[in-house]
This record gives sequence, C-alpha cells and structure tokens, in this order.
Amino acid sequence: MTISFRVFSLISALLIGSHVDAQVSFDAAENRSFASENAILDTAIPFAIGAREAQQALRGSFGWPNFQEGLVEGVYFRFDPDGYARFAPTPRLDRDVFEVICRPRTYSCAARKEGFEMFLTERGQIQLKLENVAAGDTFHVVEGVSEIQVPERIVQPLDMQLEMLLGSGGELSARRGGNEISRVSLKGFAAVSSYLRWIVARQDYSVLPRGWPVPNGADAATTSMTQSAGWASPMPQPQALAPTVISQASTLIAPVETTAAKSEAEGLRAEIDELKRMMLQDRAGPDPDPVSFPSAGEQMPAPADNTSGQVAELLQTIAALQADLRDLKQQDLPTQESGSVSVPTKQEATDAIPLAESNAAADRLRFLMDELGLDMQTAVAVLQMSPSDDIRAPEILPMPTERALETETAVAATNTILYQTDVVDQILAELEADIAQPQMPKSAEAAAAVSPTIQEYQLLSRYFASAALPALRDFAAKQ
Amino acid sequence: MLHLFGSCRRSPVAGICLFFLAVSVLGGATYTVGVTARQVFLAQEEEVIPIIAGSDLDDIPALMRGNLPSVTTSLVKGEPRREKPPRLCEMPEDYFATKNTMPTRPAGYDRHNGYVRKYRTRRGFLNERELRAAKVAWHYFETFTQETTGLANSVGNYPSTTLWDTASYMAGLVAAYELCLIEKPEFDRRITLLLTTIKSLELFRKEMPNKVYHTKTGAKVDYTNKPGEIGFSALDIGRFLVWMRIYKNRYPYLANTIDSVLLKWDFRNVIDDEGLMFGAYVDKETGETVYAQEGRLGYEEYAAKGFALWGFRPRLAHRAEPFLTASIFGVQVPYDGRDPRVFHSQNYVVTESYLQDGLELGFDLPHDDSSPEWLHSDGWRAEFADRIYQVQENRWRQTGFLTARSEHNVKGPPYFTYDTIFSDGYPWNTVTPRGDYVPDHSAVAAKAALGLWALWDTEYTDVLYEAIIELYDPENGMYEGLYERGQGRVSIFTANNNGIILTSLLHKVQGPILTPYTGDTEVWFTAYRDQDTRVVRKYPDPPQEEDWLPALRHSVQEKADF
Repeated sequence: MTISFRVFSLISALLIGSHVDAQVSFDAAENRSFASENAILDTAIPFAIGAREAQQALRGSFGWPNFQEGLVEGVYFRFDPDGYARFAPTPRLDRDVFEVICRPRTYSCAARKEGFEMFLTERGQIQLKLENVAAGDTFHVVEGVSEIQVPERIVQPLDMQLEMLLGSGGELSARRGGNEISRVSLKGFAAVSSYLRWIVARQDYSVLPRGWPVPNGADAATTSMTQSAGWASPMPQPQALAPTVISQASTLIAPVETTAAKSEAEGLRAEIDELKRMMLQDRAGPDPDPVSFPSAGEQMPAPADNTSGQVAELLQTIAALQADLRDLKQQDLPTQESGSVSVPTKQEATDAIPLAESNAAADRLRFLMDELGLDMQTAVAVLQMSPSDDIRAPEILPMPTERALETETAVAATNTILYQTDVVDQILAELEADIAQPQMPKSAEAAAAVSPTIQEYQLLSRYFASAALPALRDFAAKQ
Repeated sequence: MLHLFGSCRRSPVAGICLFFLAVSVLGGATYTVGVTARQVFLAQEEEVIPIIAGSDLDDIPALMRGNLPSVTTSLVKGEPRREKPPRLCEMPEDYFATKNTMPTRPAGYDRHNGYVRKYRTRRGFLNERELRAAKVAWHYFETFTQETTGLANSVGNYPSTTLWDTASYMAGLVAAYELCLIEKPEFDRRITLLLTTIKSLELFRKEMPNKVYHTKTGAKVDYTNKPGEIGFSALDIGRFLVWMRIYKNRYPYLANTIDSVLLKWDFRNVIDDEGLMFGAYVDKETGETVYAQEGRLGYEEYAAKGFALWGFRPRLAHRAEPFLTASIFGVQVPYDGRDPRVFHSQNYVVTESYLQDGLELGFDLPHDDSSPEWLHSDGWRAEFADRIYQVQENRWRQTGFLTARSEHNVKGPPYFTYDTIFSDGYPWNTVTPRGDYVPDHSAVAAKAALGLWALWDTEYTDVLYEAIIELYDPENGMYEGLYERGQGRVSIFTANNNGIILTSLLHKVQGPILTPYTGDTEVWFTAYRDQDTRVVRKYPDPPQEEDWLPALRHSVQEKADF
C-alpha cells in the first residue's frame, strides 16, 4: 500500500512537473506576442475592495498603460491586463513575492515564488509544484515554533481542507530524513489562489472565498469591513485574516445566510478538525500502538451533529475497528499473560524480578511520556537503548550473568503491551490504511532516516497539545 | 452779485439761458461718452497698423527676422568652428596621431562655468572586435527596418516605435555610414524614406507626433499597437530633435526635408514661456488632452538641449534645480528633488541620459560650436556625469558587482525596467514603470557599458568592455545586457540599445556626434513669415546671444562622503 502510494505520488509529481513546465515555459517574452488581445483582465474591475486602477508612464513603445493595485488578505498586489501580477506583504512588492504569469491570450496562469509554483487544474483545484522534492519527503506547515505535518498529497491537486490549511499562512517546510531541504513562505497563498480562480472565472466575484472583501457589495455585510481602523486610515493597511478567521468573520458579517451554507461551513470546519486530528496521529508516527487510538466512547472527540456524511462514516469505521481491536486484546491477554508467567517458570531464581521490572519500566515509560512528552514508540525505544543500570533500581538488579535475559524479558513484557499478536498488527495496518495516513518507511534505513528526535517532539503544536497529550496521559494512567 | 443772480433767476431770459446751458452740458457729456466709448470699443480696429519693413514700429521686420544668422560662440568670439570629422574609411592613418585632444587646463570649472573632466574619452580607430560589434549592431536595423515605411522596430520584430527609438535608428544609420558599414546610396535611401514617412505621420490632435506608431503602416497607435492615440512625449521629441539637428548639420543636403518635417508640427503646448517642457496624454474620463510637465533630472536637460538646438528657449527645463543628492559609496549622486508623491513622476537616476549628452552633444551648450573637445561648456552636466560614472565604479570596487545601469527592456513581463542607480529613496533600485521592485532584472546594460567605455577611458570600463563586446547574436544584434545575478544574457534586442552602441563606437572614431551648422539661413526660420503660422505654432526665431541657455555650475564634491 505504501509503496503503491509512493509510486503514485512519484508519477503524479512527474506529471505535475511536466504540466507546470509547459505552463510557465511559454514564450511570453517574445514581444511579438504582446498585443491588445493578450488583455484578459479589465483593470477597472477591482479584485478586492479598496483596489484601484492606476496609470503608469511608459518610456517604451509598448506596455500596459494601466494596471490595478490594492491590498487584500494581508498582501499588496498589482496586476496588468494580461494577468501578470505580483503579490507581496510590503507595498514595494520587494520581498516574499508571488509572481503570476499567464500564457498569452489564455486564462492559463501560474504563480511562483522561489522554489514553489502553483496553478489551477482543469477541475479548478490548486496544484503545487515544489522544487527539489522527492517521494518520501515530509511536509510541514510551520509558524514560529509550532508546526504540523501535512500529508504528501499536497503535491497532488489540493482539496478544500488542504488549501485552507496552506492559506492560513506560515511557511511550508519540506524535509528529507529529518533535514529541511526547502522552506517557502505561504504569505499570499490565499490571495493568489483566489486571484487564479478569479481570472479563470472572467473576474466573476462568485468564485472568491466567503468573506472576501468584494467591492460594490457595500451592504450591511461589508460595511463592517470598511469600518476597521486599517481601512479608515488614509493608507490601506494589511488585514491579515486567516481563512478560518475569515470564515468566522463571514458568519458575523453576513448574518443572512442560508441554513445550507451554514451547515456547509460547519461541515468544512469539522472536516478540517478531523484532518488536523489525522495529521496529529500521523505526526505521532507509525506507531501501531492500539492505545494511540482511544476508544470511541471515551477519547474520540464526538463528531458534530452536522458533520458531513463522509467524515461520520469514517469515524464510525474507526470506532468499529477500535472496538474489534479491544475485543482482540481481551482475547489475547490471557494467552500472553500465561506466556509471560511461563517466563519465570523458566527462571525460577528470579521469578519476582520480571514483575518488578515490568512495573519499573511502566513507571519510566509513564515518566518519559508525561514529563518529557515522548510518544509511546519513542519512549520504548529510549528504554531499549538505555543501559540496563539506568533503567533498573539498584535493589532489584539481577546478577550480571542474568542481565541479558532479563532485559529480553522486560522488553518482552513491554512488547506484550505494545504488540500483542500479529492479528493486532494486521488490524492496526488496516486501520491506518483506512484513514489513508501516509506510511512511514518500513525499511531499516528509511526508519532510521525518519526516526523522530526528542527535540522534534518537544516542539508540540497546539493541536498536539490539545488533542494527543490528554490521550497519552489517559493511557499512561491506565497503565 | 446776489441781486444780479436773484434777478436772473426770476427772469424768462435767465430760464431760457439755463435751459440752453443744461442742454449744452448734457449734449457735450453725451458726445464725450460716445467718443470715449467708440475709442474704447473700437480701439483694436483703429490700431491695426500694417507691418511695414523699416518703419519705426518694427526694428527687425518679421519677414526678415528669419534671415538673421543663428548666433553661436564661433560667431561671437570669432573662434573657428569645429569641423566634421571624415568617415572612418576616409581617415588618414595618422589621423589620431596628429589630433591633439589633451586638455590644456586643469580639471574643474573654468570662469565661464565650462568644465574640464579628469577623465579622458577613448579616441582612435576601431579594432576588429569593435568593428564586429558595430556590424552586428547595425544588423539589427537591417533586420528590423520596415521596407514600407523606413521605420525600425523598437524591440525585435514587434512592429511599433517611438520618436526616441526612431532617433536611435537615426543614430545607428549615421554611425553605419560614418563607420563605412554602408555607403551613401544606401544611407540616402534609408534616411529619405524615413523622413518622408515621418512627415506624413498623422499627428496627435494635429499638434505633435503621437507617442507610438506602427512601423509597418505608419499609423498612430496606442501602447497595444492598435489604432489610436496616446499623447506625445516631450522627452522623445527632444531626443528626436537632437538627431534631426545632427543630420541637418552633418548633411546639409537633407536640410530642406528635415525642416519640412518639423514645420508640420505645432509647438504651442510642448514648451511654455518659462521654458518648461510638457507632454500630453488623453484624459480617460473626458477624452480631453491633458498637458503635464515632463522630464526629471538627467533626461529633462538632455531633451531641453534638443529643443534649444532648434531655437527654443527651455530655460527652466535646462536647469538642474530642484535637485538633491544621495551619498552612495562616497559619491553624492544627484537626483531630481521633485517629490514623486506630489508630482506622481519618479526620479530615476540612470546612466543613459548623461551618456547621450556626452556622446552626442559633448556636454556642450547648444550654441557652442567652437570650444575644444575636452572643454564642456555645459559644465555641470559633465561634472554630474562624472559622479554617475564614479559611483558605478565604486560599487564594482567595493562589492564586486559589475555595474552599468540604465533603463532596459526585459524578456517577458514586466517588459521594461528602470535599472537605476537611485530612485524612490533607494540606491540600486530596479523597478518597473508601475513601481514593482524587481531586483532579479538588474543587469549590466550593454548600451550603458559601451557608453561608459567610450566616455571614460579607465580600467573599470575595460572590464565592462570585455563583458559586453562579444555579447551579440549575429542574426539579431547586440543583446540588451547581462543579468547581474547570473541569469545570463538579457535575451532581447532593441533599437535603442543597438543605436547607442553604434553611437559609442562612432564617438571613439569621431568624437561628439553633433557638428556645427555650416549654412547661413534655414527654412526652419524663414518659412511662413507671410502668415501667422509661426506665431500660432510658436516657431522660434534664430537664437541670438540673449537667447542662449546659461552656463551654470554647482558645488563640486571634493572628498568622499560616507
């Protein structure tokens, strides 16, 4: 499954690459292609409220004498009638610039900044092309010290959730083997994606996102936007509104909304939450620990009543799988317990020690997870890698000749908890496949290359802190 | 007395007298008012006095005023006029050995505000590489000149042009002829066709040439090359006037044709009584013509001298003020002091306008036809040009960036950039006409590099020369430049670039391109003397000494300013 997914991603990336190359390598520079029929936009129609058409003095014999400039989504922009546009967070358009170039006489446009390109597919989806990215690389949206991992499918046409996530700002980081290979600012992503859609829609405002400051809609829904301090000033000021904020603001700005629209927005929000949760679980690593999926009745956040059917179905599937898993655990436990008991029978001289070690290991495991914030797999790996002297209390130290065996016993006891049977592993694999999580590399080298570090896990996002930590604490408490 | 008065008042005779007296007074008053009113309201008719040559009312008859000679320094000072140099192929081998171009005065201003530069220009024959560059640059015009109109495309095969770029074509044509790349029949064929076409161009609202014309049809077009009109540019016209004067002075047999071209134009709005230049554009809302002051420090003075060469008096446009300086790498770089936020016009500092002044006019005033080549009568222009050069060399020495900045076209959007030394408050600012900062388009402009090489004989310009001299495509001409950030060549070919490169190479052979006028009277000054056309269109009279542009000076930077 993982291999096929990667092969698919690779093929997709290649196809996307060739498509984008074809899109941006057109010869717009040959000025014979510069003519009035290349005008695809009317710069008199404002892209957003506050935008204005302006004239420019040309020295040469050709060029667009008029253009449009404005400010939206926290970025300044200027665009020409042929669609050539620049978006940047500063009015000089000098840093962190998104540049949009359109194929002459067509509405086919591509936006790019260093190491990053985006365009609209035929189905109207945003598609990204990241330079120097290969299959197996991981992607993270980073904002300050917070970061979340995003699925590899961002190199495929983006769905609404991913587009809104990327449009929320921050930076997109691509990593290979834990090393960052590229980092691109996402400032202007939302505005540029809207601009691309606006071009394709022949400057139709209906394709712009909800809450977009559409001009000439100066009714009760938009007047509040113009009354903000920034817009009241002589010079327009950036309005850095994340899409989620915009969607919330839109409900405030536009109180007269249909019920369907409301439910759609809430459904989208629920899907985003679910997406975040799935990414959080993916962030927790390829840990097949069943306890990382809390029971539906206890830990799983209850789905909203108006959650879309697809998400609800997915959650139900997960809950059913988890219930089956719990049943299997209960069936397997006596067998494993008898197995574990059989170990002391083989080691009569130290029959009490494994239980004590097991308790000590559980205590250390709990410490590593609660105090240090490690996930289960990492905590176990730390216990395994640590010297025996460090993980055992002096009073229960076995004889040196017995250490190796007892370590194996302790690990076996731990594994009894983590990996009880092959059936469990199989179910876990199916569960992961069902929720379409990107798989971590299974080869030893790949696993070593992407093995998380303690520092990575100390950089918890607010999503991780709010959702995963309570689950882990509960699990640790149960132990 | 009282008795007499009292008796008269009461008598019938007195009443009759009083009646007649009142009638007389009223009649007199009425007559006086009528006469006065007649004098006031019909004064114009009565004061129409025909101009009679030699009468007291006309010291210099208007009909004869055009016959006055244009007063130049050679006429006033009795100095010999400069001579037109021979063509390259007609120069004796020892031409430069016998020609002394070394200054006999120390560098700096003289008491007449002339200026002697501390740098020397390059003079001599063209070597093989330079001659090849000249041939390739001329090949641009061979390739992209339209046979139907004789106009050359501004950019590659895109069929449009401006007067600025047409002047560049004229520059290339003169250079090609003087460097013996073409012979006189070809030269005459091209220039005659071109001038005939320019004379037949439809003007912008019957005033001045439109900003842009279609090179295949000669129709006035808008910026998208569709039939329409934009307005006119005083800067473009100024540069075109420089080259019309160069042609007229160098080739007197073309003088009538050249004059007839200009005598179709109406100069009433392009330059005002104070000597400011105005461009025109069409108001988008009302469709009316709007005239707006045009030109900033650098370009404005160069274009002003173009007008002055034809007798106009652009006094204010020729002045440097208001200007400010920005200290960059120890050099106080002058820039226009008019605030872009108020005047909505950027103050770009680029090399090009100073180069053109130096190459074409020798940093001399329009009336100067006798000063030695090393003495620049328009002193402050030469001194400012030295600063423009020095700051670019300093940047190279202190940062390693090879620098020769100018405006230039680029391949693809945004099509055109001002690659400036200073603009909008920033040094080394590369911006588009609409104001975007596009540092990726910063480049070593080929025309600027070769121009600097021609006017400043230094180690730095040797490096520029090596960077540019082989930057050509044999099929299309010299490339526009070399990207500063390592993206390679600016893969576009323009008339302006190739024209200025040819001018630079010609300057090495012949020195300043403008040569003195050798004729006496000019049709330009004598035509329409029997009509009011000259008054209406503001055609000037031959410039006299009091009409000369003043020679000015500004403070000189004596030490580096960091």
